[in-house]
Amino acid sequence: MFRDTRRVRQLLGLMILTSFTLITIDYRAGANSPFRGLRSSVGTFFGPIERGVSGVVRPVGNALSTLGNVGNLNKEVRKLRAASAAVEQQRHTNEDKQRQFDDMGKLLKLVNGGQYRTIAAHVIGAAPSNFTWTVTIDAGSDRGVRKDKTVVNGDGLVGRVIEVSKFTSTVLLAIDVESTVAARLSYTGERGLVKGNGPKDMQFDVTPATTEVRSGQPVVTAGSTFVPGVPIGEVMATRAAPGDTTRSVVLKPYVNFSNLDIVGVVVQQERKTDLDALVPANPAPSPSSPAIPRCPVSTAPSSTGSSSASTPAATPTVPMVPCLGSMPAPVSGAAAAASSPATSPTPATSSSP
Amino acid sequence: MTGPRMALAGLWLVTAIAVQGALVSRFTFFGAHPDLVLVVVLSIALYDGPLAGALCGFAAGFAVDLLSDHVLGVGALVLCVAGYATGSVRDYYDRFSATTPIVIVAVASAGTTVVLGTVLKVLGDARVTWSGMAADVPRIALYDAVLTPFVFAAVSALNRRVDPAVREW
Repeated sequence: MFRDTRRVRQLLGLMILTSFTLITIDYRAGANSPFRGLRSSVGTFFGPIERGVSGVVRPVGNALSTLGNVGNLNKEVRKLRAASAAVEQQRHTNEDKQRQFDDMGKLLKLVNGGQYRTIAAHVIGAAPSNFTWTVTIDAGSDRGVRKDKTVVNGDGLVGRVIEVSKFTSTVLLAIDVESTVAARLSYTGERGLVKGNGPKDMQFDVTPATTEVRSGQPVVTAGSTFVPGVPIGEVMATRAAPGDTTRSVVLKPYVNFSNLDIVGVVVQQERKTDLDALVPANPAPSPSSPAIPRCPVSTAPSSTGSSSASTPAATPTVPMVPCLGSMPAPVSGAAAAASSPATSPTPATSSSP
Repeated sequence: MTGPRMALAGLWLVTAIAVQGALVSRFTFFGAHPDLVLVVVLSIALYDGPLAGALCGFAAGFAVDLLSDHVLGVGALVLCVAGYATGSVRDYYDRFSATTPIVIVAVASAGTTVVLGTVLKVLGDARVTWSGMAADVPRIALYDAVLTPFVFAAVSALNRRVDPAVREW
């Protein structure tokens, strides 16, 4: 019956015509596409299925992911061995600082109480395309996720929500080429834009071009679409041609985007500026400490990191990293420990002529 | 394409899309991941011919479009044509050897990915670059070829069970 090639060809023509119509409508409508609702409902249909499959195959996936990363793992082992020796040395000097740090942590929680409400979610899928860097998470509008909400994990910025269906949402990862994040250098505070570069390191265009940038210097979100103060990555290298208005910085993200699992969606952000956050929201419990930074990036346990720990909020330009309430690990701890920028900040290049 | 076989094809596609999203797409191997949905569409086309290939390609492509954030209809168009073309190739063979489907899927995967990337680029998708495609397409084709023996064998075996009257391969 399927030797009837004429009818088959007619059907094929019909489908091609439909495709072109869809492309035309969707392309011209852009963000106001009439297919928004359809996309969302297909997400709602596949979300639970993907969640089920994801639960069953997670161990398999982790094993496969390990296989794909054997080369990196060897490098990682060597790096970790070296790092652990250094950490062991530092541990002794850090015990006293740890006590101070703990005390401050309590205060920080106090200050930070109710600052951001974060919900945890599992990554249950990724876009079924080789050209897109998005993931699906198992939290949707039913749990208060909305478009453009910031997504983080214990290491730093993951991305932002671009699609929401009932039980799932799609997150545009910060490494997607279409992702642009307003950011600023920690310590010095110059602002710029972080752009994703797919599997390669991110790019951070900072103005002015004369900005002095040190390798290992953390970069945090500056807060427009994104909540402010979330660590994004650390400076790897920098280049600025004479006459450029911006300095182009290669940025290594803190988050490992190849094996995202648990992430947090910042679902509620109070209307406060960074500076407001320096003042306790509820001054009653701690009237003696009027100015406390949230989580200064530079207070990682390190031998030279005492400067900002002992003088909190002396300089308002020190970037503050919010302690995200329900996240498994403190945001700044992992980020700063990975980079330990305070120990040996070597200039990547001198400022441009 | 009889009713039961159409239902079976639908089930295959839903499974492929779910597994692709939940497992395959989440892990990249040296920068790319296999396109399981495409392998399933091409396997159905190879088993069932151009009509089934075109219909499944259109449906799967449309679903992938809806689940991705690129322009709607691109995947439907490209996968529909890919399914039709692959299904037509079948008529040149009396019987497949073990390696024929693998070679066909590898070639079709490379072609489909290049066309898909080109169409997306023409429509202004900044994520598609020629250099990126040049690096990824051989890998995608290789990964898809590796998956083919398993997927094609499974598609054929199930189809044969559901409808033994189909032309045997």
